[in-house]
Amino acid sequence: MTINGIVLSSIFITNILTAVPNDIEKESRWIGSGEVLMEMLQHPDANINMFGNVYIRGVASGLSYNSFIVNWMAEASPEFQNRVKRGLLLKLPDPVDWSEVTNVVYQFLLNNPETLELPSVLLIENALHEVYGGIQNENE
Amino acid sequence: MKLNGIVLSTFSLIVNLYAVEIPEEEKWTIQNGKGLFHLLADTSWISNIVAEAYILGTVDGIINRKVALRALCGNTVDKALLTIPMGFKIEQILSIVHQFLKDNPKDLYKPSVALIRQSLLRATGQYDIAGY
Repeated sequence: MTINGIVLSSIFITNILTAVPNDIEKESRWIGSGEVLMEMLQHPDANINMFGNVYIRGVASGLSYNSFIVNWMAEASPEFQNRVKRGLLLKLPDPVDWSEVTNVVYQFLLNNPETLELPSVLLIENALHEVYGGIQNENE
Repeated sequence: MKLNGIVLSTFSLIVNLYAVEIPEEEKWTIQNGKGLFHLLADTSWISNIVAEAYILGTVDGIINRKVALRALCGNTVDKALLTIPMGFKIEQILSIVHQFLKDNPKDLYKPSVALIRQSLLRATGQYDIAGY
């Protein structure tokens, strides 16, 4: 990696880190909006691409692990099982093809430019729902 | 270690996730505690930021999902899912996860997402009814 690349990466990352709010509950704060995620995925610096890819993997893991926990609860409790609507929980393939997951998100961002102002975590979730199923939002 | 070496190591760790001949529990990938710990313990900023991106993505995914799951399953689900107290800082989360991995070397074969969740549940005094 060239010095230019290092400087650019550092500026990029510093900007992201200083631009976000503090409370973790409010929204995706590290990568921020879909615009930032898209910029990372399309950035010529391979390191910046990697940060975007890794963030997507993290979000996908967190989303699917919660579904795993809910499934576990449903199996352990017949009462709770009735409340869980089968087929509505996100389920990633096993084994997971992480390149495919990243590509699913990237294609979603490309195909939905009008949504890029939304937090990237929401866009990743929507992208994964489109391909792997699951609930779309709290009203469904 | 030269920068090129760091970049190459990090890339090997992240990209070569599924070498067929290596048993699952022995692979160093960011998806398991061993790989995540390796990245956090590394002195290069690239490794640290990659680990940070993964941890925060995981936490974002867990928390974001919670709202939708609560609507689907009712409040019962709150007992099982992670809640991060208001005001929690990114640095605290990273420090908690790193310390947990240091303190539990025998668990490093487990999925990173399970270890991240468990470390934060313990640090915030939440009871883990689902295990990890």
